[in-house]
Amino acid sequence: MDAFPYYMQVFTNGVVLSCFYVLVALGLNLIMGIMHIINFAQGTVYMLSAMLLYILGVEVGLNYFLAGALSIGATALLGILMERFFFRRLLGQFLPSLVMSLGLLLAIEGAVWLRFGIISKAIPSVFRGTVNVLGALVSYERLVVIGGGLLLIGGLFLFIRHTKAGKAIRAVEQDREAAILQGIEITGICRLVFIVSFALSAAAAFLVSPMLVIDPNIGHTPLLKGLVIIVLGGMGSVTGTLVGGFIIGFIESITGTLFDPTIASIVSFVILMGILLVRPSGLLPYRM
Amino acid sequence: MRQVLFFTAIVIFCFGVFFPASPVQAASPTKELILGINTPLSGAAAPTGLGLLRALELSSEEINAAGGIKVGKDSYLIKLITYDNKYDAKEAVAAVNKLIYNDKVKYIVTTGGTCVIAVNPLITENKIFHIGYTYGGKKATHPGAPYTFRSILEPFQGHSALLPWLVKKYGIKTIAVTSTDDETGLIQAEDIEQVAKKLGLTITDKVFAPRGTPDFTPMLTKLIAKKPQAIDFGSWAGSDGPLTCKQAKELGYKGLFLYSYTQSIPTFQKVAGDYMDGVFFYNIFASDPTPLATKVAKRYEEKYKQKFDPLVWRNSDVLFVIKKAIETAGTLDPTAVKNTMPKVSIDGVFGRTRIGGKSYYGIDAQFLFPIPLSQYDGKQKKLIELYRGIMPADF
Repeated sequence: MDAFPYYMQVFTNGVVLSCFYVLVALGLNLIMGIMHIINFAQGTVYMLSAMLLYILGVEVGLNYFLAGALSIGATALLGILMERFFFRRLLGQFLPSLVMSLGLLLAIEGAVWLRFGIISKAIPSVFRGTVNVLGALVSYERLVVIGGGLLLIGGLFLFIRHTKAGKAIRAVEQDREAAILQGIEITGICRLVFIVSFALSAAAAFLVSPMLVIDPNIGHTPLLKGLVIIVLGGMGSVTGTLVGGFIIGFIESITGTLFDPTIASIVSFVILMGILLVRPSGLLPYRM
Repeated sequence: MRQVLFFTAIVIFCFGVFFPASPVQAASPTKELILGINTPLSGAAAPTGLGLLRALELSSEEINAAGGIKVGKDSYLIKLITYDNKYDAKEAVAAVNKLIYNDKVKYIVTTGGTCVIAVNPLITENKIFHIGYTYGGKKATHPGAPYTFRSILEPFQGHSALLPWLVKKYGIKTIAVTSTDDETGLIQAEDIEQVAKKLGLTITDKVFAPRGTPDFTPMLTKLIAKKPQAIDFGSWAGSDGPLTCKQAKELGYKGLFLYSYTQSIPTFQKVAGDYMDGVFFYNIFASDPTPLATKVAKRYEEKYKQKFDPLVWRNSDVLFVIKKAIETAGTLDPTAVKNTMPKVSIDGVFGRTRIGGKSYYGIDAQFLFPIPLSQYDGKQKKLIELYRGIMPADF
């Protein structure tokens, strides 16, 4: 492979990985920022959404976009239920919420194993074929991930910065008591955050599922990467998550290409540790 | 109180005199041979583990229906106990410990190179007859593990029998290798390197990654950059194998795709879809290799109500070989049975199956049978068998 197309390939691989990880990490970070809890079941939400997509799109035979819309809607509804019945009482309580989310992770994964068994599933490619992008061969699927991912990230930024609900979320994240005094209903904000967070993970599943395989374990990697990203970027910081996500995505692409995926993971953690030594709060803490 | 006890004793005595116990029943002629199965039933390697389990279920049912394993006047029905080792060495050791100490089994089958290597000391120490459904090369099969027999052909045998044909047919001069970063994968890479060097091939690159890697694109970008004429996909199995195929083709790779680790064709079709066109598979027959294989496939579909997975053939003969060894040895003693194994041969699903390998492993502990090379035709949507190789008699 000639030099420029090779670097272009590495670049596009990095953008794809970054968009995927950022979408899941944003969901994780929103909940972290508002409720001060870490939802370890976030990766499982992504997996569940992918499974639902498979059921609707392949087993039932619906159009992929319709299946995606239903899957995202159902996952958002799941967010409402989870917030109401599992996490509302644990607002601000780190350890109990951690245990709760771990329990949910195990319960949901176990249920999915029982329903789907051990064989991986695959969603047939919706966008077939590849295109030459400045010498790099990129599948249409990956272009959709890039486009869709950037659109969602941009949409979230606009929502957070320019809508009443987004400003309310920021207010609660900055100072909960002051937000209450301003008349902002915390319960409603928490519910909204769960809806947005779960919808983001479901959107990630909608975008990447045709590219990868689907099985009950697929939530582990995005969860782990998401945690690394929110720590790297700064807990509670959407901007930080975006920056951290792209750093991690590109590190994985570059070191995964130069060396192998195992070294890529090690390098991610080494860089994370290095940055935390210099900036313990992360790159851009508490800046929504 | 004394009177109550006295009269109770009288009553019991009377029962004993007037209603004696039935004569001791003759021992039931049917006993059990418990086979422990230590195999992945979750994770990326699950299709491989499920293939083994189903092969053993079918063959044990057939043997039991015909009266079981005959040792002297006794018949032994096969009973299976299964543990999920998740293709993890620690889990595999824990499972074998349970099988040996809790379940008291003397016959075990283990899946996975790292797993077999990890359990071998325990197996040898406890003199357990052991079948390894694994690669693992000389680390899994060697004179220091005399109770372990490998049920499947290794890439070394596959490459030895098939790569010369591929080199001659397609004029290959360069090859890249990718595999899993565990014992199985590393040994597989060594095997192909050994055979490739003998054939004068240049290895352009070698890349390893963990099983279940979600996106292989970065790794494949590196591999393809050096433009090898062929890529051997090592021990990528389950859903990993077809995903590497799909992603390599999306990156525009046009050379030969060699899958020397036996794939689950139904899984490959689901995940790789149209990208499967032109891919070469070792150890998978395009059509039923023998009438016996057809019978196994039919029974599989009747029992499991699913399309037959050719992966199942790999272990369809295991219990029949064990049966023959036990009946030849005339005992269930694992040591006697393992000593008998080199003398055993059967007409199995792939044809004549024997135990050999001393010239390479230092011990006759390798199942040997014909090895096919097949290619997937995307237009006809089926496998076409191109060639069938065998290992020499003195192997």
